[in-house]
Amino acid sequence: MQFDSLTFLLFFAIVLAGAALTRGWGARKNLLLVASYVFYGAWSPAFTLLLAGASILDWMLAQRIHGAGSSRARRTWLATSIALNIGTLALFKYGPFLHANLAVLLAGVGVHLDPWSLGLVLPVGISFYTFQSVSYTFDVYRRRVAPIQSLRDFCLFVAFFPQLVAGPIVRFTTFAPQLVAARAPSWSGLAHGALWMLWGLFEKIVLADTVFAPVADAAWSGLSGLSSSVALTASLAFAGQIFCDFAGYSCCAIGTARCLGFELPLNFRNPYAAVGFSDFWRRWHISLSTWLRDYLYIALGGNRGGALRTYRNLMLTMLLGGLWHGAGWNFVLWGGLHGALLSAERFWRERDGRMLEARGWSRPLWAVTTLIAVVALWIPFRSPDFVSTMQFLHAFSAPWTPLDFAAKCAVVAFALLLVVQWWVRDRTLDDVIARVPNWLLAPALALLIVLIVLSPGETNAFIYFQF
Amino acid sequence: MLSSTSSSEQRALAWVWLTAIVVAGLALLALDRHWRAFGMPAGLIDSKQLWSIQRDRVYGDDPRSVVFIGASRSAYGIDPKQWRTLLPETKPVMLSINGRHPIALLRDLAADSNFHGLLICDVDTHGMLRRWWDMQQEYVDYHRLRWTPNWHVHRLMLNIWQRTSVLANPALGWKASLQRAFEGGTPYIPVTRINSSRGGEILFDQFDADASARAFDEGAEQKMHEPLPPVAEFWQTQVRSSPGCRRFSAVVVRSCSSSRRYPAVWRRWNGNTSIAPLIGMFLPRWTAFMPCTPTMCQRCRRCPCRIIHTCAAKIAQYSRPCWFRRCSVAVGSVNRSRHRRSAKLSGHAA
Repeated sequence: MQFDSLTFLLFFAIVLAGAALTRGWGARKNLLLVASYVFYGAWSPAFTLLLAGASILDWMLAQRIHGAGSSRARRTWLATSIALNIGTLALFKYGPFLHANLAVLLAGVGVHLDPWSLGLVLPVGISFYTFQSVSYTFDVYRRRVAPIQSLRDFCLFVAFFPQLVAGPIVRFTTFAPQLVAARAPSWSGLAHGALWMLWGLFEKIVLADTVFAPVADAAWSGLSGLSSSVALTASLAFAGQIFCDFAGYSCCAIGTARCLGFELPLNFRNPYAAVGFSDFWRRWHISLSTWLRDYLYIALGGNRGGALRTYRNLMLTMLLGGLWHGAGWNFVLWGGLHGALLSAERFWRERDGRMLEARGWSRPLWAVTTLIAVVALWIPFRSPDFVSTMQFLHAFSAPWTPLDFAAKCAVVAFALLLVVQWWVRDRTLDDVIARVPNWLLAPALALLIVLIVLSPGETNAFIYFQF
Repeated sequence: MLSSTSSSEQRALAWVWLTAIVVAGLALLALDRHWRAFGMPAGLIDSKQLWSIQRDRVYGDDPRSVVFIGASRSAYGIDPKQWRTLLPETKPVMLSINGRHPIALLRDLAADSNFHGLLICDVDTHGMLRRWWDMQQEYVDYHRLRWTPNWHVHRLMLNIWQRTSVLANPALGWKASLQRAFEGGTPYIPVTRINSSRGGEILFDQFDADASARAFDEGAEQKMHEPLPPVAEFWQTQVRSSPGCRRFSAVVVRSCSSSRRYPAVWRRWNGNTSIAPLIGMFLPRWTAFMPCTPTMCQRCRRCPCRIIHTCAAKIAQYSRPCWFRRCSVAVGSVNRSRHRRSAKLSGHAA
């Protein structure tokens, strides 16, 4: 189910009413679990079995890890859990990609491999809930948390519908306390949650789908004959689209959870106002960045072991982070380039720390450099393959042509987005709402509602669902 | 945190929400009234989702499904409701898409081993050219990859909203309105109507025949410089002789509109075919033959059912298994006059 569908409106009204009327915390958790599976099943009922199977298996394996007598047995159970989780992810998500690359390699030595014929459909949100489960298994293995005894509670942790499909990737340490203390919808939670949901829907429906997506889609669907002005506008449009699409989803997730009495972590903090690449990754998809840092970068050794090893770990983390986004070399390239930029920034900072952090002229210069690089790196991310990426880049040397209304609209919207992100750079939506007087908040909300209703185009899937 | 919010703050926030909802509601209501006064009707808007609901209906043997695929001719020329009235033992499914040749969908349904219905494909000779094969592929892909129960329910609810408010029309969206404010112009008032089973109807009383003729002239101008596609008989032979073709039936039709330019195109074509064309240029205006006349439909005198009358009796003769599934193409010419076409159909099918 998608937050910007009328189906969700109906579903959420029923769940909210059910949660408010249900007595008893256990019964309410049962209701939320059933609702989460209905939410997921609205995409493909068959994949609820996969979700349930993966959850039950992880719950059991975590118990085994915890109960194992020797460290070797613990490691074996951990390896089993990781292999099953990553194996499932690899089968559904990376199977065709790995097969195609293997075929190319084998063709080099004269061996013919038949085309991938399994025809598996990628279960929506599999990357998100797999990472969530894996983090729990790791935490149990590292003895940071004790395994949860209730299977129902664990299944709810994995499948809690606001964050199930596209995050934020919630840690067990964040969610477990919320499963212990009874929670119920309240008027206060509803009012605040609805604000987050409205803002998320505005970002998704009005900005991502109506303003940015048509410009980006038009450019990428007609790469031949692209002018430099259109290529530049499309780059900005996609940067705007992917932010508003994903941040919009995260806002809706946080808002939905709040309406039900839960708290989810922040996933975006004005990333286009970042000063430097490490700052960007502290602001963009925060739950994934911190996941990669805690479970991959640190597991690889982090910055212990010298400069070269640190750069290697950084590159590996970002390459795998790129691959997490999709099975394609373009995603690997995107992750690799971000890794290279992070490494270069680190190298620079270690040589002359004042240069980047200093106030004054270098700060805006570094911010602009960051923005340009981030926007430019969205090009391989958006392009289906290398050839398309090169075609798109080639368009920057083509003649400049006048922009149409949609393109102008996208440029203005992106500029406004930047202004707003710089204005509220270190504030959350809650902080902003708290500062706005009520006489201004009411018409602002009314305007958002009107704009959402008056954006009746084709409903697009959230971009991050495919990851 | 939320729990620390005081009751006065809660009350204030409740008032904020109430005010916002009332203000937004009034603003939207005023806009809705404004556009209705302008002449904009509320009604369903065709989309991939509306189409996908019908695509799901092609399965099942009881009642047997009769699936129509094609472009505007069949989209606006066949009324599924009327079909069901005439042939209650069948389940009509309208999958034609305005402005798109249907070969991609023909290919999709032919490869669908779960589909056992009867397929009626209306395609013109241009549509048979390879370069136009994928025009409906976008719809096929949407149904295969993105269509979910979520969107099914969403679209059913959206139908209610689109029937209720004119603001559901993208032409009246904020972006389109802003563009008109900068660049001028008024929103296009639709001259077609579609129902939930995707039965289309052209509102001839609101149809601008002169504008349509001008548009066809412009199109014909371009077509004059393009190589003509092979004639219908060529495709008929090709399909009939293709491997795996079990049973094939085609109705070849030639006709043209009253547009002044089109006859020139047809004349170029005449040397290649023995079928006499129907020339609409004798009629001064489209409107002269578009409103229903007794000769068009004897039974209900409504335009959308005329093709049914000409074909229903013939199609009803065929028993299961489907008679031209996998290899059937009903080949027509580039046709802008549905009335003329139906007359010709009548002659051939009888």
